[in-house]
Amino acid sequence: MALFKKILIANRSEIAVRIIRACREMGIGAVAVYSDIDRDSLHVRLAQEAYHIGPSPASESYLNIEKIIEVAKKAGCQAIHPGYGFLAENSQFAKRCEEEGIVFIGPPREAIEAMGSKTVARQTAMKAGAPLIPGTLEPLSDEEIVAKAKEIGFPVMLKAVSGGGGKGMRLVHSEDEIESAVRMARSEAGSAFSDDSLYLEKYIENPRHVEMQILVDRQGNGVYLGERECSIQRRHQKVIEETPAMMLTPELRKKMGETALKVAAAAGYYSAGTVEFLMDANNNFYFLEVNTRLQVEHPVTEMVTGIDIVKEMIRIAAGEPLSISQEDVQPKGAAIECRIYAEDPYNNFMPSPGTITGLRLPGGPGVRVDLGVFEGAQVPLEYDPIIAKLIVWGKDRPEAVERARRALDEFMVKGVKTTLPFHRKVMENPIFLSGEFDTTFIDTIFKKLDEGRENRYQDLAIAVAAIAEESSEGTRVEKGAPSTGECNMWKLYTRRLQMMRG
Amino acid sequence: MAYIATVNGDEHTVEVKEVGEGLFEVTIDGERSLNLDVRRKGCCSFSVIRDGESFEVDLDSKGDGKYEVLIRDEHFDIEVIDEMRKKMMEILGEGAGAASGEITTAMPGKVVKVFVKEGDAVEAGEPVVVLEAMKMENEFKAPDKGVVKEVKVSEGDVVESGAILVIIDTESE
Repeated sequence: MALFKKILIANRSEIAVRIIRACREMGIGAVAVYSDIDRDSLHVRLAQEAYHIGPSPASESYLNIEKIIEVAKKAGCQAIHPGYGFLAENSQFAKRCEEEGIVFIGPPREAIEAMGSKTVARQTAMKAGAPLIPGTLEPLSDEEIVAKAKEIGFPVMLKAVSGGGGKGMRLVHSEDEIESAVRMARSEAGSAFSDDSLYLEKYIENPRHVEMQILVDRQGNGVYLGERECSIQRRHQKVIEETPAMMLTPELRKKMGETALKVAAAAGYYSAGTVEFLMDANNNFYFLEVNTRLQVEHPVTEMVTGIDIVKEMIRIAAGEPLSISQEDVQPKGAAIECRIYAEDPYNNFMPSPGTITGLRLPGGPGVRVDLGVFEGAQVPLEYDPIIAKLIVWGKDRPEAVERARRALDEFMVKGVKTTLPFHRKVMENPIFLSGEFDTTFIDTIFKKLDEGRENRYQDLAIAVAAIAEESSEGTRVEKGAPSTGECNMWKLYTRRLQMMRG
Repeated sequence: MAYIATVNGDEHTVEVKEVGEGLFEVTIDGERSLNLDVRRKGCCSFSVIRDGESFEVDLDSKGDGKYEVLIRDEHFDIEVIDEMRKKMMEILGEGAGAASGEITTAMPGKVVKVFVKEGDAVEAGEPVVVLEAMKMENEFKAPDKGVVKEVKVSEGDVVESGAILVIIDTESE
């Protein structure tokens, strides 16, 4: 089967740009789609064709299956890449593509369906012989949740059956927290996944989140590309990912990789995919879930293996057999990804939508930036706040960390608040440097250490703020009065005071 | 000019003297003096050289002498007021702050749920509004026991940061 001539990318921002890049490099036409507010977005500019698909709310644009199919047919696309989020794990969308003779670049819809239900995924993994976290294999009613939670023993994780990305998920420490947790989780799950059913898992204390990237072709050949350590999380959402995971021995890596491929085989899976595991303090790993899509953090694996995961996905979708065998996968060095969100790290990570008024990107050896914005671009309130990913490679972890540190210092974004300063602090943190952290690190130890830090630059900050105030005063005085002098200054104060007091 | 800078609740006196183009002599608390070469070119930040050491200082003015300053990985909220104005304000006295019982949002978002209506009695910690921004839901709770005086939003509303969501008459009033 020949490769596709044209691919529609049913996504936006940095991941749409990433897929457009793969298409361009493969000589495939890239077709973008956009909502009202995204007319000015970067992916629209970089694609060769772009079509409007509806109003800004995702439900009326990027989640509008029929509109996207219609555009794909009109534009003559043979395939659709869904990216991550939006329709990436929507089996109904995969089914509609199939019915219209358009290739869905991803796994077969049966596998999406099976893995999309976290409870069915748990059943499948169990059949494949993967170790499971104690918990339920079925969705539960409110009453059952309370009863089961007591049976399993607190703390428990309340999870959305159709969940992902940390949404619809709550850690519950005791019975009196459960009612509010269930209400919030159901509401969040309902609006994010149109399914508010929940199930329970025992909470693994101090877990590490380690996931295995796999590639499986339609002929059934599979390879694992190595793990990603994703334990640096905030509110159950990954913010920093790296490879290799420091505590993973070659034997453990092989075992985890082979387990991942077995789960994929049991689910009838092909395409790129990620099998997520939790590791406890004794390096026991447990199956968590399968992400049946391209992951946000796929670039760290690309950096160490040299394998372009998006291109492989496209080739597999076109029916080509894998060009690599397990022996060809020889990861080299270490890679780290920092997710740059439009959020204010000094205000409880509140979303910070707005216009990017200034942007300076890092560069130099071993630095990759997957960017979704440009100077002048809008970061809309409607979508996920990720604006860029910084990925660095180093010959080993210490070099990768040093490189991340200097690249973060080079990286500047103005107009919206970003998580850049947060990443700078993590890269200096001794516990992060030691590698001895788990998923609770950011919300507990890091927060405490951060609050107790000495400020070395307070005087400098005060001095620059006073200089800035002086220059703005100067302008105001000049505008307010032609001549300067103490008399005018006093007039100005009085007037300002009057204004202030209304 | 002389200023009072407030950082983390501490007041510092700041004396700024411009000694050349972009060259400043700044004295803090009358004892620590900094010689700074300050330039602002391009979009992103100030370039500051202090005794040969080069810094990028990311400064945002929020108006009324309020600044947010970022140097490397350190962050400061600083309020700068010139000394004379500060003195006058102290003499005249400043107006009262926001009324207690106002539940406001620090972020823009969409109201997805309103749990209360006017006249409802609420307990401290009771959820009143759920706001969604960038796909995360945030619950706003009543700070104190009281009666709902006014509900300023309804489900589906898009609100700006700083908007008042609900006003509650607390017992203390």
